[in-house]
Amino acid sequence: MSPDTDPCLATRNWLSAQRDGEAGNDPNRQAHLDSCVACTDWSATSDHLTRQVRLRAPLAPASVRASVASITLPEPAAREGHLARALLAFAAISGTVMLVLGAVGLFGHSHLGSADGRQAEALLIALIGGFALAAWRPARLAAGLMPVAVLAAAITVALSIIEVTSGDLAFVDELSHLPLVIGAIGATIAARASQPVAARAPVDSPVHAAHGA
Amino acid sequence: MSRRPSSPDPGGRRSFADHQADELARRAARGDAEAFGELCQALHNDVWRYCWSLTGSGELADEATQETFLRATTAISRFRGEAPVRVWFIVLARRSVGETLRQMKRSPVPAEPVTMAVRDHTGTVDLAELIEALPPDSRQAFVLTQMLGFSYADAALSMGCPVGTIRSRVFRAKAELVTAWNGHETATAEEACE
Repeated sequence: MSPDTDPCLATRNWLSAQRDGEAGNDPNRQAHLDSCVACTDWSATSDHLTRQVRLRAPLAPASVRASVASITLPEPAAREGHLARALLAFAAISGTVMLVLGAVGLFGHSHLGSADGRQAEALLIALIGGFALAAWRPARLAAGLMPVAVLAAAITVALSIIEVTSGDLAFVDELSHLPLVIGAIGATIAARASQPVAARAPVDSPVHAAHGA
Repeated sequence: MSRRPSSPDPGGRRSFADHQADELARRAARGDAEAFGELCQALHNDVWRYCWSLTGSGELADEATQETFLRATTAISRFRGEAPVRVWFIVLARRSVGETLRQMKRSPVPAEPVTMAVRDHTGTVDLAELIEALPPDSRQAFVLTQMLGFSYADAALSMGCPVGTIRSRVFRAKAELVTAWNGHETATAEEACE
């Protein structure tokens, strides 16, 4: 039997929402309610039960209250997060500026002339884009970006040291790698700051104790 | 009525406490640890009751509630106020319950029942038992709207379903509770006659 064909069912359905403040007055349903003893009884019992449920709704035990009160925002992580976002944003902006200046021939050398150079430039542009996205959403993106950025920065720095010490390149040319290094540092800090508290909290904290860790 | 709610306060029915909680959440999202602490204190009962409604166990609700607030420490930075923070916590709590249940399969803890004893002229009825016997979807909708005081729109946002579905689930829950209550009264009367 559906509410369309059963007036009792339809009235009780309306009554349930109306009592919760989710349905307006309905003269037809009200008229049925006034004339139907079964629905009037149903209404009284339903009202009694929901009132009892609201009155007797169980409270969280004191142990849970205490343990929730001991959970705090990781303040150092918040500060680290701000620093990381600043570094990532700086890397993204300075990297973009250097790329544009390089492309118009005002800074460093453009590598777009060769296939290998284009591949390297594409990787750099992808990383700079990644830094910008990670600065926007560090908690979601920094951890994924971090391994690639750190590896790319480490290899670049190592090669730069070799080239500068052997005299193949001037130190000023190596400045173009600075955004990559700063971005990798920013991604590392952001990934650390985004770690779950459980991984950073001491093992005897109330939360760990409650979880039997 | 099958509209899916999209704004934080579609019916304009949310209380001052709800708006205060949202403001605390916005401050917590900016790294305000004090606001986060106040928010946890304001919402821990709601979260615990919802976890209980999902698990039917006080012990599991304890675990899942702690897990929820633990997750919130990192997730709160992503709170943008697109949905009310109470809804946001309920969604987080549902995920935490799933995780807690998986952990419990590996190392189960003894379940401690919650009781809500109501005395009537025929004896004592445990409302908690009646609520736990409801189908899971109806139970969740009932607890959200009757115990936590959610509007149907907020309950729909929390459960990811249309408002009309919440309305029928709440009705079904109430109808089953009334039937169970009447059944108990009849059974008690019959026992008394014997």
